[in-house]
Amino acid sequence: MRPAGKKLLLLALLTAMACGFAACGSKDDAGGAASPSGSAASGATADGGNKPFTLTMGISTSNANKPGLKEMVQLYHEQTGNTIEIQAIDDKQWDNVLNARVASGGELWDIIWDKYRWENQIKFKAAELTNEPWVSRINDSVLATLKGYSPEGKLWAVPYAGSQTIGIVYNKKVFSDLGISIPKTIAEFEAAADKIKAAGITPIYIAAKDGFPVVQVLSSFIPNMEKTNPTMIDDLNANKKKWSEIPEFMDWLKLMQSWREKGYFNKDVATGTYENSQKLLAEGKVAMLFQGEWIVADLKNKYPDLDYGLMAPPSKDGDNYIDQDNPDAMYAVDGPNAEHAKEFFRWWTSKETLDKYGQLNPLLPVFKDQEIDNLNPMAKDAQVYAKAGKTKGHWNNRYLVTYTNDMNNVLAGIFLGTPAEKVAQMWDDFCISQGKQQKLPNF
Amino acid sequence: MKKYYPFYFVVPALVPYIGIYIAAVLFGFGLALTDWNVYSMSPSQFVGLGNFKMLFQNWQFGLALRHTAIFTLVTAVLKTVFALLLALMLNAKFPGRNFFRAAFFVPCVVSTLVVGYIFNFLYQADGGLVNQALTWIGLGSLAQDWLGDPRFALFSVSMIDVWQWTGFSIVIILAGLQSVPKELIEAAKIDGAGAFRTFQNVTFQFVRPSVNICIILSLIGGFKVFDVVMATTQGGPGFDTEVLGTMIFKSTNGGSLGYSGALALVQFLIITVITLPTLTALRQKEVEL
Repeated sequence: MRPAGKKLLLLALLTAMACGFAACGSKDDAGGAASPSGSAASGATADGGNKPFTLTMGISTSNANKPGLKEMVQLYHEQTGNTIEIQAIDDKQWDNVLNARVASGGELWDIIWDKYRWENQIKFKAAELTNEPWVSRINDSVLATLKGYSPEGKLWAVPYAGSQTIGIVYNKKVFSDLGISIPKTIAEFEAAADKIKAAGITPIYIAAKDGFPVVQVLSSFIPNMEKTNPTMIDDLNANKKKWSEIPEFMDWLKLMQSWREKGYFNKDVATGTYENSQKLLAEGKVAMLFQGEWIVADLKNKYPDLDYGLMAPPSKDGDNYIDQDNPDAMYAVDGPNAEHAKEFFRWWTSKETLDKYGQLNPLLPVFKDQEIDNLNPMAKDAQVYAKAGKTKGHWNNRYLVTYTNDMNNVLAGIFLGTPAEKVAQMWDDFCISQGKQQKLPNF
Repeated sequence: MKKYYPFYFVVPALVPYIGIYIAAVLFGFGLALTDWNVYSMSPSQFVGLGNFKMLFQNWQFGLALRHTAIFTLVTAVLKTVFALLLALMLNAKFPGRNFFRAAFFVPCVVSTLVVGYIFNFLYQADGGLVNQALTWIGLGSLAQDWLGDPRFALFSVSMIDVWQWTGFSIVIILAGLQSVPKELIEAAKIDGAGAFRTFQNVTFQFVRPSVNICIILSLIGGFKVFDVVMATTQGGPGFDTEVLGTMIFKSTNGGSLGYSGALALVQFLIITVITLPTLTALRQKEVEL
């Protein structure tokens, strides 16, 4: 073949390859996110008419796997022909992927699952939902809390599951075998812990390696702190006080330090994992964990025979409160597909759908007309506290400083041997530095 | 006209390099002087050295800097020493030499993230290959939670970097070893010099420029470390493996672009301040041959 011919052939091959690579990408493939589905967020295929549409939902893997979501999405498809494409991101990468997309101005999903937090409506450029027909059916106290996150008192997301509580998850068999009743005061709790320890069982397991279990200890105790100091979160938000200037917080740190010195925690705090904590609780080698209701799905699947319950942490006077987290929420990203997302939300919040979903994932209901008769063991115990008015809204949803994984590492110090005053100082430094970076007023 | 030919050929590469890389770096430095936070409702403002002041008051920065310095020192020394020894061995003629040369270089071509994930399994406290191997040879008492124990985490991550990049330094030093004249080695032997004296006074003098390059590259790479830490410990347990790279990443992810820009600029200055004098000092020891 002549040199000119070879050149022409090479050029043709290169052109064909280039066309082939361009054709390989589909309309929905915007560059490969970290999601298992391998594609980034896509727009809906809706044309504004009655044709079925597809919406993408970004969600962390553990939440995507919680009972009920996939079943309800399938039901929605069967009933309406519309599709919700769940794009699950590994839990450890969820925050990173979400923040990276927001920061880079990349394409977000049409619906984003996340906790109901004050900054999310800005971050996700969420569509406002204040005037949606289902809003008036949300429990008044829950609605007031959710609207409280917006300076204008607006609503920016739909609660998609029930409300979860955070407290002490305990192995009922360990307690009954040792003849221990639910301790209410600190003295009663320490007596119980001593008895448990004497029986060769670890009273409390702290899984610091996974980070998030550490903050559940603080979250569990804050309702009791707010009982005696109801303005503490407001004072912290206004930077009127540092955490180290809150007596209840310092008392809690010193209590944890004393519990560590008494040997109430596991020896492998630094390397303890969330998964191991469940295993040891189920085996009766650990008596108590500080955790939230999200643990129920894992315990139900892996250890269905475990008899467990929820109790509030102890306080000096025994009048104990429990942390009630905001419900998980779905945000509709404001854009061309926001109206379709709102359609899906209207379907999701219908009484029929909520009752079906509640059977699959029974949590404390947030809608007035929602009926759930098969609450999980933690929710059953939580309902007792809720009916007695002994719950406080989750502090982290009201605290303006964005909580990061690094803050878990700071708090873990109290369980690893760092003195309480040092932990308090590091915690203050971290929170103030975060607040300054977020440009919060008064920081 | 002819004297501008080199410039004409460089321009097509220089223009995108300046436009994409240099401009982006300069933009990042400019960001460091603002308080830009993507999640803040207030517009970004010029704050001068405010971010730097916040940075130097932050205990986490001091911790990250210390860990980065330790990581850099450990990996630079170990990579250079191991590479020199292995290069000398691989310079000799023996059966399978080429296979071993390739084998030592293979880790360099594997993604650092993949290497990190593999070592996560190797280093596991229960059932990890490292602890199993120690048990098999009767040293089970030395088994640790290599990535979860604050005493060992930073060292363990450093060893991953040494394992992966020693091969790269071997290649550089091997190239330098080819420039050693055989006549000088023979002359030294004839003069009665032993192996160590021959290496010290002849071989090493020719190889010194290559060794210096390895040291400088190791220093720069060490201060820029990020991916191996993110793939293994993410800065934990606690903050025991927090380095400048992970701190920049977390700060950026938190939306504080001004603050993370300041961090990145400080990292750049640290690398420059340390490597330039080091390079000058090392060059002075090179012999004109």
